[in-house]
Amino acid sequence: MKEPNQNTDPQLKEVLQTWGVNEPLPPRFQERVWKRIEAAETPKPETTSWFAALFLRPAFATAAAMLLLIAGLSAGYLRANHDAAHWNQELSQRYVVALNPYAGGHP
Amino acid sequence: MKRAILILLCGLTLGVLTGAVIYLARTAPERAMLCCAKPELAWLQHEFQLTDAQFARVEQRHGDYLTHCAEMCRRIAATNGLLLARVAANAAVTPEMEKLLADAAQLRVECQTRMLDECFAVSREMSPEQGRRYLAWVQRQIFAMPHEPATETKSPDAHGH
Repeated sequence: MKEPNQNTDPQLKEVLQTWGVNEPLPPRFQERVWKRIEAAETPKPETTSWFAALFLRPAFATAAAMLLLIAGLSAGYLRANHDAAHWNQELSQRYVVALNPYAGGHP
Repeated sequence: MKRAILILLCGLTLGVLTGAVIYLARTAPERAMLCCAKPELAWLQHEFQLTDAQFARVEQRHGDYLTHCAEMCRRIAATNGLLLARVAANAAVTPEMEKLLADAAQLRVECQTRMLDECFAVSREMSPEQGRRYLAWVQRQIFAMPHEPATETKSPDAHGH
């Protein structure tokens, strides 16, 4: 289907010549446009998240470092106690088994 | 911000390092015992604070005991084998089976007598206080009733001979 050529349509041409915007601009339109242009052109400052702002201060970092130190120390101590108790139990059982020929249903 | 991150990293590193140092220091005796040729005797020395001289005597006794024990184990296994063969071949208790059962019971008596003798001898090698503690421990571990958890062992083959 052939499209009508809008540039050569005299009726359309006439309508377009009579068309105009009669609505008034909103108040302080120009000023707001300029402000937006300025804002777009101004380089944005580096933003930091609230997390970084709160926790990456030296005072907080020092407190967190102390906590990490205590946590590491406690974890090492507790794990060592657990493993030492386990190994002691295992070794004592080995002694019992070596001593007692009837241990564990043997023979 | 960089300073704060540095402080945090230092805290983390120190935390890991102190944890590792504490762990290694606290478990050093147990790890040393596990690496010994006879870890169970190393445990005995550590647990009951045997001096080197006491430990040498206990180790000698233990070796002699194990030699005797191996012979007893061989006899127990032989008696049990014969008994099982008779049980499989008969439908009722025969005089021969009764004798084998009596032999097995007698072997058990001999074994336990020898074991008790060994325990007393080992306790005498220790200081009086540690000797008493050792005997109390042995009583709990070896002479407790079989259904008690103290007598449970991990492997039936662990006696080793």
